[in-house]
Amino acid sequence: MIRDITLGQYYKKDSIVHSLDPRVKLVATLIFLISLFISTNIFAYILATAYLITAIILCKVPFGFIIRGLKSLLLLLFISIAFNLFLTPGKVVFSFYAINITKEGIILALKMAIRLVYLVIGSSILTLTTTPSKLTDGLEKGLSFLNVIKVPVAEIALMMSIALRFIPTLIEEVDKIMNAQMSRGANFEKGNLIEKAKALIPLLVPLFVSAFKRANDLAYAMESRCYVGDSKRTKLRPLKYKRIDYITYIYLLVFIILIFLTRYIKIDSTLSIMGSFRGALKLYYER
Amino acid sequence: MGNIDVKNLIVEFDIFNADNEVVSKKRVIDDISFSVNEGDFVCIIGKNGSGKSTLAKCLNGLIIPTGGDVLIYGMNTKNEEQLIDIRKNIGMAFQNPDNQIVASIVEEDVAFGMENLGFSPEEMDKRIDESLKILGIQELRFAQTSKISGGQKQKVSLAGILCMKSKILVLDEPTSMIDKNGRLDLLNKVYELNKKEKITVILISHYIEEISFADRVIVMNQGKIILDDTPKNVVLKDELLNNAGIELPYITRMAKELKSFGKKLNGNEFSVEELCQFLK
Repeated sequence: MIRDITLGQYYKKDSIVHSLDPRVKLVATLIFLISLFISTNIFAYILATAYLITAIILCKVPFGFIIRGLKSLLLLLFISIAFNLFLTPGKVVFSFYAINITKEGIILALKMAIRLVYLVIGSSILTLTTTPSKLTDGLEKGLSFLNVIKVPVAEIALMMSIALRFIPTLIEEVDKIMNAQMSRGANFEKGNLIEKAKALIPLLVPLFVSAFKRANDLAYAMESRCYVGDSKRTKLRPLKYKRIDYITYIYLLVFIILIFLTRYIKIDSTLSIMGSFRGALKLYYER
Repeated sequence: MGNIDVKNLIVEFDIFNADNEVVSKKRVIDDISFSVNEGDFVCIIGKNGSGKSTLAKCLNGLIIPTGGDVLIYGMNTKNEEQLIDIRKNIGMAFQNPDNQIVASIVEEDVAFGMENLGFSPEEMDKRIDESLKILGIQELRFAQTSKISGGQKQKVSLAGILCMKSKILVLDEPTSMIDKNGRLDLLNKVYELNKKEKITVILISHYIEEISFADRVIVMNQGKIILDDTPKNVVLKDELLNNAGIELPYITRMAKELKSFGKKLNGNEFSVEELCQFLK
């Protein structure tokens, strides 16, 4: 049934990640995304992988569930790998007719693939462990500093939560309108893409009309309950940091510092350190 | 002076043409006056387009009158600075239960009004508990608002009003979109609120059966008040009601028929019990 669709993809479970303040999770996701894009060498990727694995283990959500989001990404992943693989100039390692695959191409394609996959998994963990309403609460509180430059953060957050609240109502409405139009001969499944798009018009027009009517009614209802639209509102469940949240922040700080430090590790010098270590071993055995 | 004083109220809406120019004005409420006292249960009935919903919105300051005044505890709805105080005192539930729920979780929706007024979380918690208990829907506290029935949604919006400790409750056709059982259940709760919590109730309806809950009935037609009396007296004026497009309750019609056959009846009975009493 269409009305059984659950909002977002929240996966209910009792875990440390679930219990974290949504602001911490938002910051953690942001830091993870930044770390992916400033990573330049293998050490940074190892760190990021360790970070991701820790999050996956701690959130207790089945791994199969987490990687579900990757399905929709496959095409994008394929295209980006292909472009990087075939179109990067450099040292040719494999040649097939006019196609040259270079060493640089392979490395770049691999980097892009890892970045994309990690990006999706990282943000999936956020949405899997946080309810939509907590997420908007977190955004509201976390971005409240934007009030200084007159961005109506509280209003935007309320709009977001109302939008979320109306999704099931509108899905039901779509269901009703579709049935009504189908009973009068409308066909939403037959035809090519353009015909299908055209068939949506008799669905969308009544949907918009009723959505505007609902918006009008809701505005009355909100006004009658003393809503005036400034940020003096209080919250029934205000967000409060707990000890675990502060500890997580410290971990995040350490992580981002480590990621920055990896930028200063030179692969060559590491190799030469390893090389000289090997040389020393060789010398030792020769003796 | 009562709880609510409506003096020479006139409301006109602009009629626009296709070019968005005002071509004429439509008078929706035409010079009406009445007052309601504390603890009254008033039912306003009328057919569609009689102006009853507009009247309800005027009481809450959602529509500002074109002429005349609406005073709530002496505060005029035309005075914008007093609107918040007026809305604190006069809570309103609307026709479509779906379109008045703001939050995804019941308790969050009930708290919405209090959040707007700046209550502390502890106070909100306490009041949510109380109001859900009064309406008998404690078990719904953490339920999703999209998964409860229409009648339950109306109770949730009533709970939101009770939390704000409003002294007046305006219900704009709250039962028109819920089934018969839900309707009776809701109205019984409203009746209880009126009798136990001494909340003034203004029930707007087009179901004439619902006047049996009220102490006083106001009948509207074409923006005017045509009758203002007790339910028992109102149903005796069948000609006026017929002109206003309102059909009498089934039982009352039967009583009138029986009376015309020479039975000793008043012709204003509402319930089967009442009817049987006379027939004994």
